[in-house]
Amino acid sequence: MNSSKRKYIFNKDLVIATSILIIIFILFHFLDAFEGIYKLTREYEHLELDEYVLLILSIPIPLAWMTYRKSREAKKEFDQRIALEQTLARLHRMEALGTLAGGMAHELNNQLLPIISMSEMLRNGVVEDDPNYRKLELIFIAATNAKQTVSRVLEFSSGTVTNDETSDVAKTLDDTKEMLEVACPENIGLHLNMEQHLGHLNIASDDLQSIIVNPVVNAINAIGKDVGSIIVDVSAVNIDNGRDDLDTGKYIKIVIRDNGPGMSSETAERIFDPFFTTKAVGEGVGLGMAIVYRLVKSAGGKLFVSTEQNKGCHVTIYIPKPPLTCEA
Amino acid sequence: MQISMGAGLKMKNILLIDDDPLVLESISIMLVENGYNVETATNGELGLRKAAEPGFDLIITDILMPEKDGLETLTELKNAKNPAKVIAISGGGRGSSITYLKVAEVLGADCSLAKPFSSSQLITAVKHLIN
Repeated sequence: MNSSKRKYIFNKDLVIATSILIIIFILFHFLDAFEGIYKLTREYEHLELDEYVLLILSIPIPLAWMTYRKSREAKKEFDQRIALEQTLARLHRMEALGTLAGGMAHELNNQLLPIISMSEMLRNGVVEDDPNYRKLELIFIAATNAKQTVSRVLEFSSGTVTNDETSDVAKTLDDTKEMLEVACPENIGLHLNMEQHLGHLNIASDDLQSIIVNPVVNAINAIGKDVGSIIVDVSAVNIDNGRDDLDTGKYIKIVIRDNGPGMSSETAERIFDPFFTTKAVGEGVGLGMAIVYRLVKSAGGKLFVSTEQNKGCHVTIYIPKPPLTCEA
Repeated sequence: MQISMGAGLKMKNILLIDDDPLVLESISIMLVENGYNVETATNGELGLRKAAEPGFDLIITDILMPEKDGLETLTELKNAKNPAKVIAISGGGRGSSITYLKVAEVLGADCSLAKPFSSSQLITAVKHLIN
């Protein structure tokens, strides 16, 4: 969108520059300028005017080089600013949503207190074989679950993810595979390819699972009732050439590819926004990819999403491996 | 509890400050049913006025309230050298309730509870402080 506009400006400038050159040439032609200069230099040969003329004519060469360098610097700075602004905009959005979620959580916590405490008191006052015991217990359990949901949203919006667990990547993947195979409908082929000896990651295995499951579930939803395939590749990679802006080191690389309908650029831009969803009301709250983003970031990793309409979607995730311990 | 009351000890007085009427009533019920005497106030200002009367063993205050919030209330209680123990309760807000409660403990709350809590959690905390 932006680049096409810039290209247009470049073409316009080129046309203007060429026109100026042609006008100068025509002007010189009508004024017989070259003839004049030739005569002048021949007349005052002792002044060596030819050299001066040549010098003046070659001034644009270093000038053009300088302009080129400056414009390249300007473009670099411009791109950096744009990236910074986009990050800031995302942070602002996150913050606004965090405030919203925080306010909502506060209300809900207050509203849940009477439900949890009163149902608990009532249940404690009833003998276990009373038919009302189970009913009261159900209220208590459901309200306690709601409390956990609230604290999860709050934890998410305030940005605290605690990470002191480790997980065996291969084992987690095996569990995940089983789960995904159940979730995946028959019209979609799911392939999970993983290298051997993936080792451990400093991330809870539930979190690693959620990093993989969320994009896969999105892919399943995107493909819908069409025939399609989802491929998950997990490998251990060494990064030492600054690829994808990554620091040098060992990473676990997870790539999730699907051949679904892909996303529009508007959707792709907002994919990590919490509470952004393309699903119908009640079918998804829009926290999936936001959670993946948060988890990967807090593990010190990076993730990239590339998509094109009607060409599917690639989610690439890098999670840094902890410094080598006993494992080979 | 039963035994100590039977032994003729006076009932413990608790002042409860919370702006949510349903929360206020629920907590009152939990405390009264466990044999405590409960006074209530719906904001920090009213709470402080009541707390000035002597005889409270424990003050339970919410953190986020209109008028005067719990942290201010707590600070003024401590400045007035109020002898009552204090439990801070909070349902969070911007950020998690844990943050508010930590601040409350730094400001001098003896104990803190994140809402929503169950009656057993509350009673355990209360007993721990004043029995």
